[in-house]
Amino acid sequence: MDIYIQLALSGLFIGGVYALISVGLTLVFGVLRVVNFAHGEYLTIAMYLTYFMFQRVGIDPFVASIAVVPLMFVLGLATERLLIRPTLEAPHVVQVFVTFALSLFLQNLLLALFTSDFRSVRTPYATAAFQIGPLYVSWLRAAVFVVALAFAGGLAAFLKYTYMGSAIRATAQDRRSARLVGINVDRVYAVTFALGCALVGAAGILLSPLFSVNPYTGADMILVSFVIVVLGGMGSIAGAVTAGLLIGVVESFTGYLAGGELKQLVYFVLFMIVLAVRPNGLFGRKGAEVMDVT
Amino acid sequence: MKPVRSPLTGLLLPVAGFAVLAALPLIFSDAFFVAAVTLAFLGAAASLAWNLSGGYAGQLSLGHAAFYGLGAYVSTILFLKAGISPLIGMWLGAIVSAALAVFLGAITMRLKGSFFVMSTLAFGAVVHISAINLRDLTGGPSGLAIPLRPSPENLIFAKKLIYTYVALVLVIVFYAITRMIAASKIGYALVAFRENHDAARALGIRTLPLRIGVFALSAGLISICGTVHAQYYLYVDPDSVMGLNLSLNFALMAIVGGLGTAYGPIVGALLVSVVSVVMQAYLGDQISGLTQLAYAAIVILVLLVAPTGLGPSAHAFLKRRMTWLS
Amino acid sequence: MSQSKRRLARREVLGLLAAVPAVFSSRSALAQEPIKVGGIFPLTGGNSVFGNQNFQGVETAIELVNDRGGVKGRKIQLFKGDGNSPQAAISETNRLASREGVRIFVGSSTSAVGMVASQEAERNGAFYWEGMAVANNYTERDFKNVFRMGLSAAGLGEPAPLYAAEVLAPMLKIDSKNLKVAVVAEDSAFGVDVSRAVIAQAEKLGIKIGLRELYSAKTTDLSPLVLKLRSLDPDMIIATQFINDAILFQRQMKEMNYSPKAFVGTSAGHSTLSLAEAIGKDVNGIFSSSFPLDANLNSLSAEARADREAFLKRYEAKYKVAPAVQESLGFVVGIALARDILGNATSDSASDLREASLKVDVPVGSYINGWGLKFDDKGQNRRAFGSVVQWQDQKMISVYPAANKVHDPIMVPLPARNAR
Repeated sequence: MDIYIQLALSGLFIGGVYALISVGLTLVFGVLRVVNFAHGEYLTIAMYLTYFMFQRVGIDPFVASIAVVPLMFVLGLATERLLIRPTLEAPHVVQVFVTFALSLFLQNLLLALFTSDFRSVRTPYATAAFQIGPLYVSWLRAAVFVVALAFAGGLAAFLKYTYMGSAIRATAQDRRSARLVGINVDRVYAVTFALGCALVGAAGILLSPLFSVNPYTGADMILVSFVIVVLGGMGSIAGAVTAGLLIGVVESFTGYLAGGELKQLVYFVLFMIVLAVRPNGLFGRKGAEVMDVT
Repeated sequence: MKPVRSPLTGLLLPVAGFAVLAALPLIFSDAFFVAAVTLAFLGAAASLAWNLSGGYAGQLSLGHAAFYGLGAYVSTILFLKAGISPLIGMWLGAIVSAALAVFLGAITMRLKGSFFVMSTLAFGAVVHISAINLRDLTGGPSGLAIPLRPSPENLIFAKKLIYTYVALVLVIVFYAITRMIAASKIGYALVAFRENHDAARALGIRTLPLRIGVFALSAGLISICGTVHAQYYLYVDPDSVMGLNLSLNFALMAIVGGLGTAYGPIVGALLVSVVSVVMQAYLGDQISGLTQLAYAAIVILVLLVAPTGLGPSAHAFLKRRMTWLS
Repeated sequence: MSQSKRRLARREVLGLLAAVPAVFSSRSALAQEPIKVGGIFPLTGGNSVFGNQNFQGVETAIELVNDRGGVKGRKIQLFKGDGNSPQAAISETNRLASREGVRIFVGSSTSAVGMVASQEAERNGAFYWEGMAVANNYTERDFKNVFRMGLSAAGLGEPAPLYAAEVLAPMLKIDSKNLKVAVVAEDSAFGVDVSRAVIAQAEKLGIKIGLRELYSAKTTDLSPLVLKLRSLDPDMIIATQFINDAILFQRQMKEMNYSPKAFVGTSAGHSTLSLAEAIGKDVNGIFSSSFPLDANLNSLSAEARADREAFLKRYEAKYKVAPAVQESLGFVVGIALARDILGNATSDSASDLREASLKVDVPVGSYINGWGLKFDDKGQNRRAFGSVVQWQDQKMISVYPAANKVHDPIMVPLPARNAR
């Protein structure tokens, strides 16, 4: 029994990380309708920023977030202005492939700048753990989990209680009507995209004491986020969090019961079943996903 | 959306174009160049197959590498374990791929835009991971090496130039198939659906079986490219015949050249290849990553400048010029 | 130089038409034309960590040979080919062959790249010198001009169970027949092939394998595996891992306060400095069966000792870190090609290089890692062997076999987590 609780706990912890990465992706998708293939590279960039601040200046990752998150926000603003906005009127595929090319561009830029060596932030607390009965709980993973949920909650509150938040939600529902009621849709897009980058930046900071970084780290981690975003219902924050935690737990149990090599297979199959049965995902708005076709 | 029907664009231009393509490897017989042209042709053929469904029907699939890989694996496994010629194996691979496409299509064809994209992406991943894990059959991640035994019935040639022309034949055949479908009722129905599915439905066009059919055809054709890939490289492993990047590249070539046009994938494949070859030749010796960095930058620029693809954008540009002159 | 200049001048009198071809023919007789060698390594992409390390090693060897006067007075010019995928490996091999005129290749860090690049070279009638690809079927392809100086997967994996039976079991006071071993590996060709070799060798020695588990190296969570291992409680783990998963595994074992009595990696993730950088002193005590890092100085020839000194000095001057296993392997592969193959061949044509390779007979202890060079009829070097290193004081120290041993193993069994 203990082992199952421990597995669930491990699954929830890694699921929290997945959730935080996916929240930004789903937000951008929900509002701009752009599947951002470069999302993972922003994670990588944030991890590098954190690493260099730690290594060169000795700033703890959690402190570094004060600088890194705003930096990522600005980077997001710039990307939106230069690459996303010019293609918003273009066919859907163009946006997909602009972000794909951007991901390739950023990966190789990081490679040319920093080589492919793995860099690690080594903090004394990285592997510190406490024990509750038979359970081992890593301080850091627990903290990451809490912070991830706090960020997701903060985002939800922001969307609900601020003017900008309402504007973002209105735009997500119907961009034309939003424009009609006087919402500056361009600004909403810019802020949303930048928020997505800032969130994944925060995820990168939280991850850096846990994982080593090289130019391909983000790309390796992002595939699962695509699954999570669809599972949760594209555009749904609560859905992304729930699906993230769910995938984490599923991974953990299959890893234990069936073996690590089947982990991915299981969640991709699960994903296709969900799409076949309930294509709008767990929390998706109904009607957004299925065509009325014969 | 009505296709131009003048004899010039209808027949003469393509024939002239293919003649130029056929002459390319003879004019520049340098091995590096021939290899690049072969890859461009194979890419063009695969992208043409992808474009049938991805371009004309607007079903943006990012899982076509699964079919490409199936073509490579089915023919290779049959060849290695049962001694069946790849000339037969490639048809069996195509049938397997088409059948799987019908199954996938039945599940996913009612999904809208990004949902369809994501489900094909997941499908590609499932097939890719399965190939890694079915070690007894696929050789697992180490892949399968095909012995170099040149003979036409093994589809293995000592002279690499022959592969170039095999790939070119695929390009010409796939181009002809595309033109035939585009000019048929099926083509019009697909385009009508792509442009506005509600309107198409209101007109009583029943597209679901058509779209599944074209998806299966597209999967079967790309699977043949996979067999040729296996016989050219004489080595098949999951990452190089089923990786996500492969799916992205098939689509990218069509998009760069002109999505949903018959010549688009060819133009795109040639351009993408020329860019990578030039980059590789001039930046290859420099800092790691520089080649692909430049490549990605060029792709971004092309997409920003010509979002409908180079072919149609150039066409529109010329047209504007003409009207302005007259 | 002066003689050929004179010859050239005399021929110029014969007129321009005759002189043009003469310039070319005399240039090839000049013996100053560099020998062109193309390196095919994954320099970008997921496997580029090892690709770049291997290349740096080869490059250092070539620079050293050139600074010592080259091969029979000719310099070696090393070209870079980025084989980041099998496709890229083919096109880079062709590019170097047709645009740069390279007829000699060296590679290739991963088996997928090595398999196709060597085949492309063979098709082009070029010579391929393999150092790093470990696929067991690499040398089973009846190629004429492809030689592997380095190890097969079997050669790489086997020292781990051998060392476990010979050295670790007695130290743990367990009879090797009762030793319980768990085998853990990432699921690419590297992990699958090497772990298979580990198990085959272990079974030959009568060691029981309690668990063989594969996982993807891109995984983000290995705690299920750690939990499984804890409930199984093996005496020893033999792990074939890349870098980030090796780091993750060590960290998660620590989080869960779990440790086997001994931990043996098999090269890659466990023989790279990134591991020590990531987990600090927790690295101490970990073994790694791998390509040899260095050798016991007493077992090396005088020449190898001089090479070793030159290599360490040059590498550290250029990259500001000490070379690890993959760099040192690259160096050995480069120096052997330059000195013992090119240096003894009648010309640099593929057939003469093949001739020289078949004839070569360099005793063990002639290279900085203790290897020698003698090929079997399949083109596999019989004088390459794996070794075991151990992390001691956050440095890799060779502990096995005897010829490579520079220090006794420590921390067997591994002390409790809080006592390291």
